[in-house]
Amino acid sequence: MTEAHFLSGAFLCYLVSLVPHAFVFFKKSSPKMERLARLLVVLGFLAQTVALAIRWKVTGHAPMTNMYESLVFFSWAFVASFLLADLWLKISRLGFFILVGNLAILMYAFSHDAAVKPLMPALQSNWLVLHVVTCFFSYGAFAVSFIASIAYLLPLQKKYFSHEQLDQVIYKSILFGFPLLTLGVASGAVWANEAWGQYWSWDPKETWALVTWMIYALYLHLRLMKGWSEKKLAWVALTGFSFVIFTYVGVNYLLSGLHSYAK
Amino acid sequence: MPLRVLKKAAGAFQKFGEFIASVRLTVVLLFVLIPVAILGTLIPQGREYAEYAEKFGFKWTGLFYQLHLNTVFLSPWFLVLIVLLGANILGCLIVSVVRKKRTFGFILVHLSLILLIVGGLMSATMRIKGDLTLNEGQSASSITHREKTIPLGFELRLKDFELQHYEDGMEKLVIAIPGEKQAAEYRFRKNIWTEIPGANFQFRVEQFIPDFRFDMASRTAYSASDEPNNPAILVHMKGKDEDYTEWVFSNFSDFHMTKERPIGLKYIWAQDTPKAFISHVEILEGGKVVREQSIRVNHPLRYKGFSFYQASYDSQAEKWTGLAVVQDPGTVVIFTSIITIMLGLTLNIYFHPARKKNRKLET
Repeated sequence: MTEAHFLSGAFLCYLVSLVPHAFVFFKKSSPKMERLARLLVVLGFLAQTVALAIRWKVTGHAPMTNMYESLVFFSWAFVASFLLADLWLKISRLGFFILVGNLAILMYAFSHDAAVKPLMPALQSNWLVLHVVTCFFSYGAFAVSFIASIAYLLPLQKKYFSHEQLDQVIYKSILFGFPLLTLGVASGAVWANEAWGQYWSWDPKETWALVTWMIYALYLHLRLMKGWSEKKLAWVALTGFSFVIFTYVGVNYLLSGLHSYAK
Repeated sequence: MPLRVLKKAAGAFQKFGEFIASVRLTVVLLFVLIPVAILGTLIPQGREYAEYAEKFGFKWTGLFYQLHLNTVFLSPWFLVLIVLLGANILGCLIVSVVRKKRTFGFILVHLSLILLIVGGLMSATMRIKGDLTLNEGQSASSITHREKTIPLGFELRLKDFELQHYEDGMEKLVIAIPGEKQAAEYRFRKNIWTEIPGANFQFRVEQFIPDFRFDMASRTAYSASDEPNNPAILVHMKGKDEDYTEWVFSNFSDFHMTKERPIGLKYIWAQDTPKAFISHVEILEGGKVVREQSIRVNHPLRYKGFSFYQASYDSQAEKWTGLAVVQDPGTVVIFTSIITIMLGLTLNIYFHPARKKNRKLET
């Protein structure tokens, strides 16, 4: 079986899991459906893990070197973040929206060229894995906080979620992702110094990653030091993720720089 | 009277100190730095005046130069913002330590941020960078930085430059000889004659066109764009009695051949991605070789405070290399701050004692 088989299997599992997730969302107490939904997501996650492993073996390098590979990895990190958050914070009611978001990421990945391409010299580094893994795990955690922020800001949310729970999901996801984003940006700086002799060159991707970091730093300071709460803070979390998306996708297409291979 | 003035001054100074050490200032600075950083990516940085004038017009270009928006991250006002941020973090840190309000992780993170700013300022003021272009056999013992000659204290000589290609990533010309069972694949370089064994023929590729079009009026070939939409090569074939050129198209998957020209040609285009460009260099001191090393991307050479990075190369004849030579005392400070900031964040967020206590209470 090939990478495509496992990836299609994962996509199918996520898609089918929408049914029990929708049930969990509308009906408050449904442990059986919750278990089924979780099982399908775990199966999908395992299939996607195998798909990534196969691609790693076939290409001979970590599957994170172009837009297709990074989107598939982002989707994987998103699901991993969801499973972790669900384990700690019991957020199965958010599962439906998270899975819809994840399917959108995978569909966007499938619209890109999946052909295996030779690795350019700048990407032949051990820093690649640390830099990309930490960045995408932070993106995954921030994506969870983004979904929770949307749920928080929706007019009908009180019917389905408790304010406190959503607030905790937003806060703890950001708290989990922030050190990872810091490590992602920092490892990128060390790598840049190793490859080009300059740890920071104010390249658009670097600058936007720093801006994203500053937004989440702002979120933490506003919450912990200035006592901000509720909708205002949810808006900051929402803005933070829109910066994540622009840093990840927008910069590649709209602003040229050192990360031009990421298209 | 002087006592009153003194008291007033002391009061103002205290207020200023409180403002500098306030989280309010942190929030204000972040709100200012975010759009400033974004502006620095939206306006191209460090370009020539003519480029700005062409893109934005003279009025805007004048404004960019006046406000240093063409070099945002090197501008004096950006430096002021960064120094203010550093002072603010230091102020907050001192207040926290005095009031014993914060954890070790918190102190470490904020101390690291100050260190990060110090390292950045050190790099901005003390970093030396020069470019070296060396032909094979050539050596250099100094670099030029800001129009000043800086001696290296040793000699660096390029022994050999090597460009490695991916086997599968190279374009190929496939040649089918009549009577031969299998066609042979040839990797080629432009304008170099290659013998075809057993055929008394040789060939050379004379031209490459990525998006082939033919102008019937002038009878000339041209490229419609830089994109490889219709890659084609002009192949010159020379035999005992024959001498002809022929365009071979990558999009045409069969062999190009006719009755008059029975040798079949097929062109397989591939994006040429170099696998590695390597400068084999040696360091000489007092005329003696003291070290030999290969410099490639991600594998710089470090010697006596200087680092040599593979920056560019001669893609045509593969005879010269371009090296970036850097000496940056800020790097050590930056890397130290990275380690300490990660340690602090891990301690403060993942192993926060208060959070651990809460969890215990919850269970």
